[in-house]
Amino acid sequence: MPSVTFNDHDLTAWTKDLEKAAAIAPAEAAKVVTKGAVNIKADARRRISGLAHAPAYPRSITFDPVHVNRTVATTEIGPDKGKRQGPLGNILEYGAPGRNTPPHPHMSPAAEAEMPRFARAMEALAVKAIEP
Amino acid sequence: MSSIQDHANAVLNLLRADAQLTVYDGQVTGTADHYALVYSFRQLPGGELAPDKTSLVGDSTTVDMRFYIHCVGVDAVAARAVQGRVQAALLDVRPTIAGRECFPIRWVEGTQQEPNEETLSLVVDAVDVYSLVTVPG
Repeated sequence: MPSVTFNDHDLTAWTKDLEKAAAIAPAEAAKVVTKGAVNIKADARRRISGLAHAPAYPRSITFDPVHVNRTVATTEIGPDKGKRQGPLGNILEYGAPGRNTPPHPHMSPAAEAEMPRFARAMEALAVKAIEP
Repeated sequence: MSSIQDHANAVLNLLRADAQLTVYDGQVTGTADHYALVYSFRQLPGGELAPDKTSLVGDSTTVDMRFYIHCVGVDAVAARAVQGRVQAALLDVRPTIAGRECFPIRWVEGTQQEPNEETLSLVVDAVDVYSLVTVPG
């Protein structure tokens, strides 16, 4: 009677690598998201600084603590309407026809500028997490 | 060498080709009750942000022109109508600029319709942001 033998040593090792990666990924991803949020906040504040009529607005730009679970790490970055001049965010970002106020894009460009750095950091995280 | 104004004109001319659409460039200069107010914002992305459009020597020759278009009307219906005309004029259209290769105009982001916060008027304003990316032709 012919028989077949399977050696699952490599598969078992790979499974353990993935389990290890899954265990460390959430905390590491939270660090990457936090770093990205810090960068976006700082860049957005820099881009919108110097407006005579909105001197306090840049300091209203903050981000929420990173929320993390097994599959997602999220935060929200932007002007806090509870802070001084925070409610101006939409008007400054997009402009206001009523006052002929032009837009001063700062949040979207800051986020776009961070995207390649964020992608690289997440790639590095993935490589580090699955290294044996 | 094409200028920033050439890029702005390319989009403004597309919008102005619609005779039913009142278009203002950077400032409301008329009394129309529904209109598209266009602000432009130029970006010069380098290799990090536009790696697929940057030459091997890394020169910042790519132009990413953003158009912040306020679609204004006396009510939500009118503002939506302006939005629709703007979309029909711009979305996925590949304009012509001398000396440049133009990629199709894309929608980037937008805000929902809302009354003007400053004047508390009944004017409804919705903003759409479009992007025109060009490289040397």
